[in-house]
Amino acid sequence: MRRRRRSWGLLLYTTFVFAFLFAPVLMVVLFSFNRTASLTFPFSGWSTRWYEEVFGSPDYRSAIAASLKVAVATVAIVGVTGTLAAIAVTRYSSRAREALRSVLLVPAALPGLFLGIGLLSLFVRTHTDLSLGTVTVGHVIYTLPYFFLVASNRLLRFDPLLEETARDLGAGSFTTFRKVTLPISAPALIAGGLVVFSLSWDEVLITFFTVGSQNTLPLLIYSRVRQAVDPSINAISTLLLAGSLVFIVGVRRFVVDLQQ
Amino acid sequence: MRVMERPSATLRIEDVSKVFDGMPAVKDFSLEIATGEFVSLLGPSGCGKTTLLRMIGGFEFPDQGRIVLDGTDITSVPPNKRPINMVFQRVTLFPHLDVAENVAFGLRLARVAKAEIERRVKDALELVRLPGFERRKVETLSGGQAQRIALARALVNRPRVLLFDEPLSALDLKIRRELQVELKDIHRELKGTFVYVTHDQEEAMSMSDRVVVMRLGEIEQVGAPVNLYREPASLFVASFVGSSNVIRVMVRSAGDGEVAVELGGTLVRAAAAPGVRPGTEASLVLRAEAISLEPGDREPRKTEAGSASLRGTVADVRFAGAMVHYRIDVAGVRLHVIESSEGSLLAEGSDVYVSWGVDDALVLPEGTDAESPSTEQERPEGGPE
Repeated sequence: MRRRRRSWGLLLYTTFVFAFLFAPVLMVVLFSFNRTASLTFPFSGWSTRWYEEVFGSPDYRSAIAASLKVAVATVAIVGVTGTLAAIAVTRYSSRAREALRSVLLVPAALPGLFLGIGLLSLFVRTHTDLSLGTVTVGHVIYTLPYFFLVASNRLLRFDPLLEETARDLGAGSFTTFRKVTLPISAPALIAGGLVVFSLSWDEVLITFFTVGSQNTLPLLIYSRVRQAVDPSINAISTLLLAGSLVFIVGVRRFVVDLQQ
Repeated sequence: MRVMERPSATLRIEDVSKVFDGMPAVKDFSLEIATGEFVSLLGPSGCGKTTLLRMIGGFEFPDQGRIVLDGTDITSVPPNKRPINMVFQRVTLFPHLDVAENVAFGLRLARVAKAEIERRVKDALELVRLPGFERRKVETLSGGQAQRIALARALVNRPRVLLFDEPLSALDLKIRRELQVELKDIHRELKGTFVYVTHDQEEAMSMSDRVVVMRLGEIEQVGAPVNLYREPASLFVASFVGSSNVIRVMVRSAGDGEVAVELGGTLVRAAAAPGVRPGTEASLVLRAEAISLEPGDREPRKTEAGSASLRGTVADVRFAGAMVHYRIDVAGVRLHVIESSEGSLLAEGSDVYVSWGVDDALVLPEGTDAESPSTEQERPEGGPE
């Protein structure tokens, strides 16, 4: 009896928590299919006109393309430099290693606002034209620590005997890395890359200070919300949500791989 | 002395020394290993055996001395350029490759033709008694199977010397015994030069042509297992290689490689190592199976001239199948005696005559081994030295 009542209470509480968490999300999804521009009940009917607007709008399309370009470039640069940094760190003595790790993690601890303003004044002073390139520089600085953390954790746990075995069987140090260390560490590096992608994809602050004339997607959404109630934002948000769900499932697969 | 009989030495270690953090790990080590010889480096952890093996493999470089393979100095050649392969203590199969890809790893790097790789991998798997395992995943293998694959992966490259760094120490006793027998069979079949590091004296004695007992980075004694067992050069070797009784005695008189020592008031004659002087304390080394027992209610059997015969009491009887282990209280000491279990067993508490031949008793000088090794303490679980 008692157990049953307690579990009812728990069920109620859980339902409440989930409702609280997901009600806003549900609202967005719901109103993205609304026929009119109003954000109030009752609905006057269903339609997909906001989706048509998103897909038809050159603004959205170019913003999505810009965000993708920046995110992919960031992942590529951070993936290579972060992996190299992580390899270097594993070769140091434990004291030098800890010092280096702390230094490399600093950009993640800095407020985005600070980093954005700092980069902007640097670009102005060096007469660098603001563009998606400068945005990418900002994103690389901001996301590198996260990737480095994941990669160095994996490489520090790497069994040195496996590398010795490869050397013993005739592999030089580069071949050892390419044929043994890299493939075995790949799940962690891919997971780190996904984290970098998602950080870059919805980054606003640093982007705001370093971007030129070309909007990224988060900036476009932000500017539209500021101007007026724009229901197409509900549609693009729903699309992003669907994308994120696919993304999360992907990350989970790699994380599960990682734990094995 | 065996080296003299085989001039075609494959591996020569010349005055090799290595210091780690100010601590000498290997000191002026010289050894010649002949083609096709199975040599074990035996000693407690910290004796430098693994360091020496890693220098042969190229994973460490000597501070001084040379390592010469068939007349070529390989002292500073990196491991990937040495025609030498190693089987490591832990299983080091590559988890992202299947069994065949693991075994073929070295051959692929050496750009051996595909058909030949396939054939050699198949042969290697047959040699380690795991035929048909090509497409198995590494994580589905048992510990013993994994170490066999690791062995196949090393020997498929036809190394000039095959090194073993305690490859069986992580396995169960039963599988370890099986693999010891198989490893010896494989050695017989390949006639390769094997260098095997272990802290397990039984493993070293049962497989090797020669055993090198190491202590504090130096050679304590080198010899065929039976020689080490019968004629240990020091107390350290005696207590490391067999189940010997070591008894402190007083030397009464000495002469011509033989001494008389006092054991519980009785004078006993025994063979003596150099350096045993009258009036000093020494150690009498008696192997457990060299001692014979006679029931004490009978007249003692007429023993051959010079052998000892003492009266004692059976303190403990432990039956172990083919053998019986006795503990005998005699002359104030407790002796470990191993007898065949055939015939009637002695009862606990009964009186016995204890005897051994002069040649079975060896007196070694006291003092050369302040700390004689306790075997338990020398066997940590697996850890590298």
